Amino acid sequence: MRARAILSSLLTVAALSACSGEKGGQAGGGAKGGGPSAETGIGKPNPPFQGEVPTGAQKIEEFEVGKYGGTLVIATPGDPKSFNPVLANETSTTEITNGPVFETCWDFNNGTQEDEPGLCEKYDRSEDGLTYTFTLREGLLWSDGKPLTTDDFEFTYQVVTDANVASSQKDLFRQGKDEAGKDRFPTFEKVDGRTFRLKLIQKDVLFHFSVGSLTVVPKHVWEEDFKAGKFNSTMQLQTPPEKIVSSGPFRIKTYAAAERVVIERNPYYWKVDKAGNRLPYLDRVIFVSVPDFNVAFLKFREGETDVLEVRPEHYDLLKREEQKGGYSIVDMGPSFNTNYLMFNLDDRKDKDGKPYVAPHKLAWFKSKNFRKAVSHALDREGIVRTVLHGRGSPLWAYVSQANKKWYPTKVEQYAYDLVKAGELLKADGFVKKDDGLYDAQGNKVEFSVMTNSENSTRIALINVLKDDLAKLGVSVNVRPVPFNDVVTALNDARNFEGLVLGWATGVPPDPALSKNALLSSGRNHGWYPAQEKPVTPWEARIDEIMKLQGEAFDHAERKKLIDELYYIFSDEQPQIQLVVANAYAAGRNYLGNFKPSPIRPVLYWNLESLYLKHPKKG
Amino acid sequence: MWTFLLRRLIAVPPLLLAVSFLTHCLLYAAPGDYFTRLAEDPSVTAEYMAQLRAQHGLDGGLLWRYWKWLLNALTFDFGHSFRFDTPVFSLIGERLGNTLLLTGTSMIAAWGLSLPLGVIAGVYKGTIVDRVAGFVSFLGLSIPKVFFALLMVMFAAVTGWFPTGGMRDQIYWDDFTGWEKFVDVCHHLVLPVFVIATTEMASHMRQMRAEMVETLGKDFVRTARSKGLAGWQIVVKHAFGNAVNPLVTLFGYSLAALLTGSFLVEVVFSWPGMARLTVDAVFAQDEPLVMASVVMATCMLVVGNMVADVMLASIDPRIRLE
Repeated sequence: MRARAILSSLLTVAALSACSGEKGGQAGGGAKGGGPSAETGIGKPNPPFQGEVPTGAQKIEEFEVGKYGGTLVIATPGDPKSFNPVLANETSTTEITNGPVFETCWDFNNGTQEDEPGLCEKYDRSEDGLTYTFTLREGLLWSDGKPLTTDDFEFTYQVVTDANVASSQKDLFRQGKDEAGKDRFPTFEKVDGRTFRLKLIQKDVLFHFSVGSLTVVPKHVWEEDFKAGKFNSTMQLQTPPEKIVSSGPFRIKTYAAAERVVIERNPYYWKVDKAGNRLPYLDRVIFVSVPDFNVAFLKFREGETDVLEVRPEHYDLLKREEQKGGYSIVDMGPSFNTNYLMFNLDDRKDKDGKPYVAPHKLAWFKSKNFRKAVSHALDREGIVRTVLHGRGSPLWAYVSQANKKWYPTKVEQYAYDLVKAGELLKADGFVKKDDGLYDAQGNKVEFSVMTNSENSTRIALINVLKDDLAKLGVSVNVRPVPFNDVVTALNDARNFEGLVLGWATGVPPDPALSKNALLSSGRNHGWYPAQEKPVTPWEARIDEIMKLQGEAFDHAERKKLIDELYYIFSDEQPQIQLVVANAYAAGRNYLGNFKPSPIRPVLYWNLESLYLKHPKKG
Repeated sequence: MWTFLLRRLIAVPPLLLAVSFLTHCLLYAAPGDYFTRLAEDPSVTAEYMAQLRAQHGLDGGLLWRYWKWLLNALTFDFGHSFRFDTPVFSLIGERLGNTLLLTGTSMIAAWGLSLPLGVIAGVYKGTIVDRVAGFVSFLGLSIPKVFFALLMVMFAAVTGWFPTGGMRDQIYWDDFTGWEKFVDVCHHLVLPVFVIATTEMASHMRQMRAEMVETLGKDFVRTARSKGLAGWQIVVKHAFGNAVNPLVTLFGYSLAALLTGSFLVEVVFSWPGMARLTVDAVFAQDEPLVMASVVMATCMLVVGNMVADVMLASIDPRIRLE
């Protein structure tokens, strides 16, 4: 269930159990409707399902049939900030609201990394790519039993595109500005209770994903507040839980500040398993609020929680206690989080007329040979061994190997080769002397590399980097600073020389969503952002590719373009990709259908299909 | 006495102004703001960031922003938290009770133990009782609270006798009866209260003992003894009242510390109180929330001092509040 909150792509910052009762019978008994039951054990759904199975219910074929009942406990670092899915802009909120509580009309499957139907059973795109027609499933109901129709989508669209509502979803729909400088949006047209149409102004290859991130909210509950201009203060943590009417597998039950959020089964949910039993299986899910990942780890180790994202520093200990703790660690392969070293190629000046980077250093950084030499001088295998304890792999492309769909077929690789690095530097006139490397003008090659101090992996990384580059005679000053200082240096002050940062992925992990980083005019084009026109021919080509791929509806054609883009990137090395760590998750052995994915929310993207094989002890 | 109180109250607004302005300056000077962290998301546009900043009043200069804050604060509107989009005092209200429960219990425990123990140690100066009390208080004084708290968390984790954090059971709470809930909260209180109370108690006990030893050596005590009064009568009726004076002042300060004194322990024990709210607010640069917490802590300090002065005046007839 598919955090399609595209927002969750926050660049990784600081890195960034309850049932008694006997063993239950097979599921299915309490499936259709289900009678009231006082049992909290495994076997009968409590709270029970209400009403009939929706005619258009979505059948989940990919998971085994489970059992009803039980509570899943998950520790989350950080408290949710509200329950409003339209306004939410950080993961501790979206990972509860977007998916478990609110669903969208078009979904993303973390397992297959492909999009799939959600509240809508299908959509059609017109020949010219400018009209999208979405059809809702039949018989959809909100968690209060009221019908969910196109009216709700119309309302949500109105809210999201409203000038006074600050929603990040708005950015997905904005298509330029009109003469008066006002934002232009596709027009929404209600066809009937189950069909709506969106007419675009310009082609957008990811438009179905944009509609797919529209977390629909109930018109019958919030229309009044919206009309009174008070939508920004709806669905807050203090709002009575029964008012937060949901469309997802769960609804909010209780909230205690800095302690926990309890969600319970939405009795009207619209998905069924492959045997036709209604979902979700779990009665309740408790999100326990913890101050940080270390406490989350402790709670899992003590058996208080059922699932955990395993951080590298905790891996060994957890692995040793796997049997004793009754859990298994799942190796999810490479994660989506990349790490790169980037030089400042910005030749502009600050307000006081001082260049961002000293001109002689800028000359080194701008040289492709210099960047390639640095890339060759980095022993990525060694970094994996020392910094990642062997659990990771070298990274060559802009995206991680985890990206099944978009990892490029061809990239330039930079084997650890000091001789080659030396030759590349020599070609640029650099001279190695006894006390270090000098450029042709006689300047000693020396620069600083900054990274955010909250991330211990990155600190270790830049220290290894310093040693590696010392072998070339390059001296690096390591500068770990708080994350906000890194961001300020990157976006405003622009006074950094080298920087080690990384990307996390958005959902879907699609290159089109990286346009802020890839386009030369983009704000996140870190080495030289917001260029008025492309400074180099290769950046011009990347701009062109980004434009072409945005209009290519054929996947093969898009893939070819993106492959070319990523190749250029690996050849030019504006960001020297370093390593990618493997991702691990741990889950108790009594948990069924536990299929963590490196895309957020890692542990419970298929929350409606998770189930307990037998009651927990305790 | 009323003139005294009035004078004290008049001094409060300038103090609050100074404290709030300083806090505001510090927040302003810190790099970035609450929305900075959004900037690194490749899908967030400049328009969205600008709209958020404008909506939350982050688009003016230092003085202008302080002035706007001040105008609202004068009408008791301390604004909405950036993170929670909720009025700050409703957030603080949620947490305040939890903090007061922890600090209040600790205070009762600390004072309830330190006064009698201090008196006993003073009376039986040099005996084994005094030595043990002295040892305990030195221990309490010399272990840093944070370290002590961490030790206790470890103790809880290793033995499993106590919860490692939180205020109540996270999982079964909703199914508990009233009595079970009470027991559960008490169970969670034991360790954090132990940590705060031991460290607090140590200094109070030393103080009480010293005062008691001094008072017992005074002339009026000798007079009382020579009048033939029983030993305990002298201690309770005559010496205690005289010896406790400086501790009343300390008590005033500990009232002020009700709000902030348990910060470190709250963080270590994941107590859902003011500390985590405020600390998180500082890290996230949630300005309205930081400002409101600071103003509140300042008020507490002022009130605590005033209470101490009034109490002192009512206990000691030599002191007049003019």
